[in-house]
Amino acid sequence: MKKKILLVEDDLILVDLYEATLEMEGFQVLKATSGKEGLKILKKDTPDLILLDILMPEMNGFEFLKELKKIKTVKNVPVLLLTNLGESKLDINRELAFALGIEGYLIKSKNPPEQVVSRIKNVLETVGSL
Amino acid sequence: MNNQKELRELLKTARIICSSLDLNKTLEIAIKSLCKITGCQYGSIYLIDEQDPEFMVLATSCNFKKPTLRYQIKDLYFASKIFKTKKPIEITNLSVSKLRDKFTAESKHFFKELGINYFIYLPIVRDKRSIGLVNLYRKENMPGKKIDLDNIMLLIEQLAIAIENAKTHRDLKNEKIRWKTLFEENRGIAIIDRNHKIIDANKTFKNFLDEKDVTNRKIIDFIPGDEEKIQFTKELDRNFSEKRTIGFELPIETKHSIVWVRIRVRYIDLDGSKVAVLTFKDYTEQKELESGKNEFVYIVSHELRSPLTAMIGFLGLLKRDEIGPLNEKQKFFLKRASESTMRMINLVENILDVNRIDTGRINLNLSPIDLRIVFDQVKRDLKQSSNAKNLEIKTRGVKSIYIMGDKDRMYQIFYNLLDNAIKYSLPNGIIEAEFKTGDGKGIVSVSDNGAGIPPVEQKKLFTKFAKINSTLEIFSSGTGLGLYIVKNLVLAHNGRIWLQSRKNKGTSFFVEFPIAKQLSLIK
Repeated sequence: MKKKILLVEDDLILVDLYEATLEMEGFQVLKATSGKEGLKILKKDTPDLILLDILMPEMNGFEFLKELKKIKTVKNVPVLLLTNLGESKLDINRELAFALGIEGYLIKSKNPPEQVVSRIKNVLETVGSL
Repeated sequence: MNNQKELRELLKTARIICSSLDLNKTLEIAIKSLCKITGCQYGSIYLIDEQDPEFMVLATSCNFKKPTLRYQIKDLYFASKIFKTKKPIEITNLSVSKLRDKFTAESKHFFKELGINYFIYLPIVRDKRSIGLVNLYRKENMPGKKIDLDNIMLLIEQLAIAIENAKTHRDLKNEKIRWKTLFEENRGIAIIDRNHKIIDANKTFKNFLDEKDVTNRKIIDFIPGDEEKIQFTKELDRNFSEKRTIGFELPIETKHSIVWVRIRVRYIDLDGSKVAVLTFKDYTEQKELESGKNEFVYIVSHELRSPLTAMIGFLGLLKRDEIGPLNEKQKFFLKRASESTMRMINLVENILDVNRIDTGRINLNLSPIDLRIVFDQVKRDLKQSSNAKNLEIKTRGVKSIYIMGDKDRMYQIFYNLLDNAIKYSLPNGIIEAEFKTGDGKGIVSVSDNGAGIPPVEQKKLFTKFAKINSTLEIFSSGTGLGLYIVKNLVLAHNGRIWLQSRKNKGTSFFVEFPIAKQLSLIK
């Protein structure tokens, strides 16, 4: 059975990129271009993993995460943060993210799509074996 | 004048001239008194021109109608002689004296007209230097009346001291005027004592702070924030003990706002006290420009990242077999497009790094790392470039050097150094990397056999946009930001970086880091 990935990213070009890459790797992709849209999808569907952008208008990645944890059906779905923010303390609040329960984070410009895919595969394997 | 009266007159005059700092008054009183004591009707005092010591200038005269204002000393027989010998010359009975011919025609005429028959020239000497002379002329010879030269010379001694004091005082006044002008120029200036109390401040400084008077206030009072207060105090105290000139930027709290200033501190050792002179330059405009610029760079670079990520991503997807086969030309064009995009991505990352450095946002993820292992990784990743020029990369020295460092940033440092070495090496050569330890420090050097870097270029190397004009023009690509970033990363690790280079002998870059203590935590 194809694994389902929910992609929450407001940059349309990047959405196309990740969607194309993931589909080529045999994943089914659900896409949302905003936090609100993402939560709507989650009401009907439960993905195997969520790829989440941080900087989005109206509802950013952190706020989405908080809402996610309130929904029983999906609060344990592994989340990988996708961001272009740098690693410095001021740019990404790593502690907060981990405290909210993410599996890891990837930096878009440093981790090309292939690396994102391997990371996803890693996470799914670990989760699957629990 | 009898002896006692003479002595009293002498004393009186001496007292007056020693208590006055007014040069003109001093000289006037002196010549009048000297005339009185010696019974001479005419007298004058000439002083050597400070600007032009070959001349002497009239300082004061007594009873002359139109005395000559200025003489060239060498034209005057008596003046020249007196300045040289520093002894007085007395001529009694001028009309029959042999020395009469030594006078200028003008003087002889003058003596005849006034009926001068006696004169005396007295040198004014200070610290074994002649600074002027006194001329006294008498109409009739007074036989039996001997002028007590010793007494007169005593008074002239006092006069010499008084003249010098008056000159010093006048010079001091002039200095003060010059200084006041400088002081009130456009920068804010404050002078503080060892206890950081403001002794003096100019208008600009007071205007900065919107205060009418700041004397005796502590300079610290105007620095907002405890951290800044502490930093400032530390810098000031260090300056007092080290006598260096230092400069730094600080916010200053004025009555209505916070102003950013650039401060330079100069330490002065006055006779009897130590003060620091602080010059403040309003830096707010530059600061705003700078942060505006920094913000702009940050935002733009960030915006560039996403489309660049998309580009490299889609180009990568194009290469994949699932999409469809490509002919040779398409593969080649795709390769070039990807390389180009990678260069852009590296440039954007470099710009963002420079931006982070400029705004103090470099944050290191420290952990114990082995420099040798990091270097080996860099060597592997650069294998293709070094092979392309048939270069051998030799490593030697100690087997490992452990320091507390950021692995990714250390990789960046070594990557830059080795990449440069490869770029600027002549083909078929050797690049040597040496690992040494000593004195609690680990030193890594990377040496190439290239054309070397001329000293003038060496100085610019670690600045932004530095580029070397190499004869290998093909390799003049690159932004010139690399070494600026490397230097700052090295400094962030508490390290040092330097180079040695000789024309046509090659270049060696050295980086040094403190070795990690508590090695027992590792392995």
